[in-house]
Amino acid sequence: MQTASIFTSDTKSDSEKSPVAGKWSRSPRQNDEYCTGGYRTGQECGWVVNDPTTIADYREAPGDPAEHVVPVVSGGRIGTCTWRGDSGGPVYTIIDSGPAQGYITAKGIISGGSKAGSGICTQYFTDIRLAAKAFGGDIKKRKIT
Amino acid sequence: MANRLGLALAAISVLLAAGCGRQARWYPIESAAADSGGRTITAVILTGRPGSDGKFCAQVTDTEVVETSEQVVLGIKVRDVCEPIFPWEDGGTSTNFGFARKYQFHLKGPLARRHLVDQATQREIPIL
Repeated sequence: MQTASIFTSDTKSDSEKSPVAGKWSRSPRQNDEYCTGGYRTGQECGWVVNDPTTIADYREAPGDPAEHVVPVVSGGRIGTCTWRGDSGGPVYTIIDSGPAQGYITAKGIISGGSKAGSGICTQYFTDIRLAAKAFGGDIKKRKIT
Repeated sequence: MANRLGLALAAISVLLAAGCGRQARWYPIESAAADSGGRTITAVILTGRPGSDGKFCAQVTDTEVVETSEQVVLGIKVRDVCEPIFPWEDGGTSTNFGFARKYQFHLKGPLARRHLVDQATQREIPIL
């Protein structure tokens, strides 16, 4: 049985998967491009890192105090924003050449985002290296063939 | 005169656009389950969690069932009262946690082999 793959479909109606080669060996930097793969919105690419070390001020309901989450990485794009149900989903890049073409490199975990109906989205994620450090262990990887 | 008419039309356009932020819309249904008789369908939607006062940003304003011999279309209409009223307002940020909320639909006849379709996406709803 093959493991170490993630769903990379942009809809929930099919089950397209891609193998995972590993995780990024450095922390995110400004202008890094990435994709998100939330349960709700599926694969959405074209995100660009705006601030690699920032604070997210999450407010779930009007009148509730803001919850400060730090450190997170913020990114932006125009199009479909991440949405309810996407938290915990993968943030990744897709290897576009060489023997590992089409493989996934893990970059982070979806945290939250702007409530933008306008299509101008801000998105927050946790650096995969921080998550691995906090929880221990590592992500599952597929051998490149 | 033409200038005034233009300004008036622009103002009306802005006011109409301003109302769009909180319009009720058909909301995607994540999954559904049928009871043993097939006449009661429990549908699940994912919204944000309720605030400390128990109120949700995403308020369900209407539900709808349309039955034919081939399919059953379920619709849940939601208005997000936390969305900005004006397009230039900051909508704030929130986590992307999904809070599951269940709604029951009562059919005229058993679901049987009919397709269960989501009004919002026009796609088949996964039956769990």
